[in-house]
Amino acid sequence: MSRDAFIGELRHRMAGLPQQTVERTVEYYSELIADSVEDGLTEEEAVSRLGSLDEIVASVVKDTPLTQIVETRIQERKKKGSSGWVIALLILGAPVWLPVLIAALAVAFALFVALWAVVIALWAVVAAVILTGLAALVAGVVELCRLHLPQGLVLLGGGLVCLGLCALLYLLMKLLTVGTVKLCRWLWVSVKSLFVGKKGK
Amino acid sequence: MDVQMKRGLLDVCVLAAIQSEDSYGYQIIKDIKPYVDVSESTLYPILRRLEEGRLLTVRSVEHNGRLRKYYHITDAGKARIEDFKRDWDEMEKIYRFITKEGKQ
Repeated sequence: MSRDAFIGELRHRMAGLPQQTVERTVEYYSELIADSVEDGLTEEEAVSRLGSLDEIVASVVKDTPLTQIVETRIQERKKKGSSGWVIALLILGAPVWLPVLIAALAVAFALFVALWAVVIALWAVVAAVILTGLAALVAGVVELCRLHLPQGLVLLGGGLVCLGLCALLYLLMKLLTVGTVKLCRWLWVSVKSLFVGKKGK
Repeated sequence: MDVQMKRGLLDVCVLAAIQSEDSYGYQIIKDIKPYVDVSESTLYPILRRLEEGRLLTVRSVEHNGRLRKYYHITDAGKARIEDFKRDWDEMEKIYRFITKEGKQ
């Protein structure tokens, strides 16, 4: 890809980000290409060394707050000059789209809470198994002291099984929790990406 | 390497690259690359973060009929490097403890 094609595509994909962010990013990458070319690389080599456009745009989106992205989108609309009809429809349609918007946000929030509720519930299970294990061990010792040999051994064995199980469950839960955090972060960046880039192409 | 740890290390590496004299994006990458795996797209957010944290300042200088951004380290940036060196002494002590335990 040539320098101009790269910069053009970069601009295209960053549409919707604040103007200042777009300019700064374009300046940074065109300077790198120019310096690479001065260092003896061809334009194509210089561009290919920059990595994929997806990665570049994703890292810029990650560093831009959602509020800024939405603000830019709204200002763009204003610049295009919404016709009186659109504004009238927006106001008249408010009883329809406003509840729908609120409902959509509520559903998204509920899903988020539900996701974490499952994680918390599973941690509670781990805690319960630990407590059961400890309780069984104590009961086992008590039973042994009262010379109820079979009951005591069963309780001790059960307790140890519970604690062993916990060690495994703990590792699984750690993976699951880290995974959920990553999933939430990824979803957040995806939501922001929805507002960035021109549609159709 | 741990992501958080690498992020902190890269910040200090970039500061170190502009410590003795002001430098620009392409040169910084060239200077750091033999030591740490850094790409053009990873350097960009680092430079932005360091600028926002006032650890470095940026100025544009004319070069071959175009503008090139030079990065200049601030006192806070130099202090950050000193902090890192101090942390490193501590890390080394811990490292010696860990490897000594491993041998026994």
